[in-house]
Amino acid sequence: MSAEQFEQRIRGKVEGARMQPSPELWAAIEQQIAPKNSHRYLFLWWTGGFLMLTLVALGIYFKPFTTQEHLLPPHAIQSETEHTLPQSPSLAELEEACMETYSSLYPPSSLPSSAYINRRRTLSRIPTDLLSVDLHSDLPHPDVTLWMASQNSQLPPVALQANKLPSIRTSLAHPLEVPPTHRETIRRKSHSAMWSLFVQGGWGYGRMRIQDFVGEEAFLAASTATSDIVYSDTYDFNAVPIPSQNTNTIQVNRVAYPRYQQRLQVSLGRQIRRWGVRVGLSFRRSEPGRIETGFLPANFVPIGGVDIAALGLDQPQFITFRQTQMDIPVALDFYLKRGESNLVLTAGWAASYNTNRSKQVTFAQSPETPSDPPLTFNQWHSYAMGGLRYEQTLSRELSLFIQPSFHHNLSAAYNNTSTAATQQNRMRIHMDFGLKKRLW
Amino acid sequence: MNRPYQALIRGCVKQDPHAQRELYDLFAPRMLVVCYRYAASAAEAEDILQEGFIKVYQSIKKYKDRGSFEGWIRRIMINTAIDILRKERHAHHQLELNETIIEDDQEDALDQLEAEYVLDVIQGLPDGYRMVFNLYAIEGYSHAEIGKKLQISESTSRSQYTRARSMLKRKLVDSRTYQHSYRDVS
Repeated sequence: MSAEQFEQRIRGKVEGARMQPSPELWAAIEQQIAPKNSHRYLFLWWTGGFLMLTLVALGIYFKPFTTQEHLLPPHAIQSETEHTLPQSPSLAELEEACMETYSSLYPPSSLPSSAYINRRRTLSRIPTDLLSVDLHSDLPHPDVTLWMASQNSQLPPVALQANKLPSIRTSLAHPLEVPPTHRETIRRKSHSAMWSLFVQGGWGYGRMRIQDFVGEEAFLAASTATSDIVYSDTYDFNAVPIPSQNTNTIQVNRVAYPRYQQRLQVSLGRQIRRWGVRVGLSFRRSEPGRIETGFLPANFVPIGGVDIAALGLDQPQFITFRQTQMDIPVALDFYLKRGESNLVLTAGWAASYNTNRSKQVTFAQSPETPSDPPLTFNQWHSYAMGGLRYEQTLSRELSLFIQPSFHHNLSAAYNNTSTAATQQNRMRIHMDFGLKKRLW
Repeated sequence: MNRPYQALIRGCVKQDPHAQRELYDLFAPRMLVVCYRYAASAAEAEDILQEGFIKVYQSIKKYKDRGSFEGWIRRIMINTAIDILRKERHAHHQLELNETIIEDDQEDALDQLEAEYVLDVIQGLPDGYRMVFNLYAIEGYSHAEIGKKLQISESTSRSQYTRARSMLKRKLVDSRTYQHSYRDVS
């Protein structure tokens, strides 16, 4: 029999054959492709959330339906102001009353002299019938906001600026992180800095961060850098999909590494009474080397999960990891204050894009084994965040806080050399405890 | 009666579960045979089939209406099988074998064997041989293409194929004898 005849006969034998797969196989495939369907709805959910937050942010920021009456402070504050003033004050009397209130709130010693003189000059030039004083009595240090009608073209330039940007503040904190509750520390000093020490609970890490608040009404921030010592145990569920295994997978990683990040974060925010809206843009770049070990904690049996040892992940690996990331977050805050205690509730959403390049070397690798080539991949994330921050003021400079929060991260990563994308659906829970001190 | 493939493809692109199931019912029995030939065991064949179908559903929107749809699915299954086996480092195993010359009087031995049995015998080949044999003798790839797919040289593909064919012939002859004696006993 010739080779061709043999091949032909074999081909004839196997071509028409049929085999019935086991009944469980379809269930396994269905389970693997099902998340794709739910991801489609998740995308709608994310988009809807983003649009809603954007609309709320725009609505609060621009207040498109407001009239001059709406721009005036609430009646309670008005009556307080009226109580201190004569019923029909003359222009000069009203102006004098405003000056006194202003002077009592901002004594000359609390501001640089030039700024104080400038403010007084500005205040004296504003037509009094368009001016009222808003005493935010719920804040520990009453703030002054100038309320005036933007339609008035006779307002001096400085007053117009104040009108347009009455409470815009800059923050170098990530816009999705629960914001500080001490609004006055941001507003009253044109330059201030504070440090806070975060100790994250759970599987968290320690972090020290210096935050700068630049300017009272500026909305562009300078770049800053943070340095962390990261230690974390990460439990990734479904992070490593193995289609040939009909189960969810669990990968556990332990990492410890020092990290230095270059950051440029710009956050534009506005607070109206108890509500705050923040929109941000953030760039981050970090290039740490880290040692990573996969492990399973004692008494932990993954149900059909990844066999860490079989994959060689239990060997310590040194990973160099370069990451650049851009985030566009939107957050909505709700502030509550009682005495010296502050509570902030935050909900936010962010779109994020990052590029990653990592190279991995297993310490236990034999010299003959070629090391893996660098892995380059890009990722789209969208993540939602909910958080709560409770802060207790100890003194004017010092406060303690506790901040539980969660991040729900939905990401799609795609390798540069392949069109195949992997998707992750991950929830992170943080518990931060911190001490915050204003430096100047 | 199944809907035409076009409707089925459209349904799968829309991630319609009924269309996905229908596609599976239509092609799984045929594709399992393909996977079975490449796998080292029945369980591994089902693993390949499962992963292959997931890839089919994920990439069906990229399917261009050129050539046979079944051929497209088949190529995905074969590539999946190669990927899986390569990852598991089953490939490139080579065994030293002496050429076996099949006698002319055993020529009709193949015709008398059942397809399932032939498949089992193919599956019993060493991984490297099995892959090369399947790709060359059944799928019709050239040795140059096989070399590229399996990341081996063209000459290695040729020699593996020759050895695989010899081994297969010998196994089929042996198994025929065994099969007959087994049947006699039962």
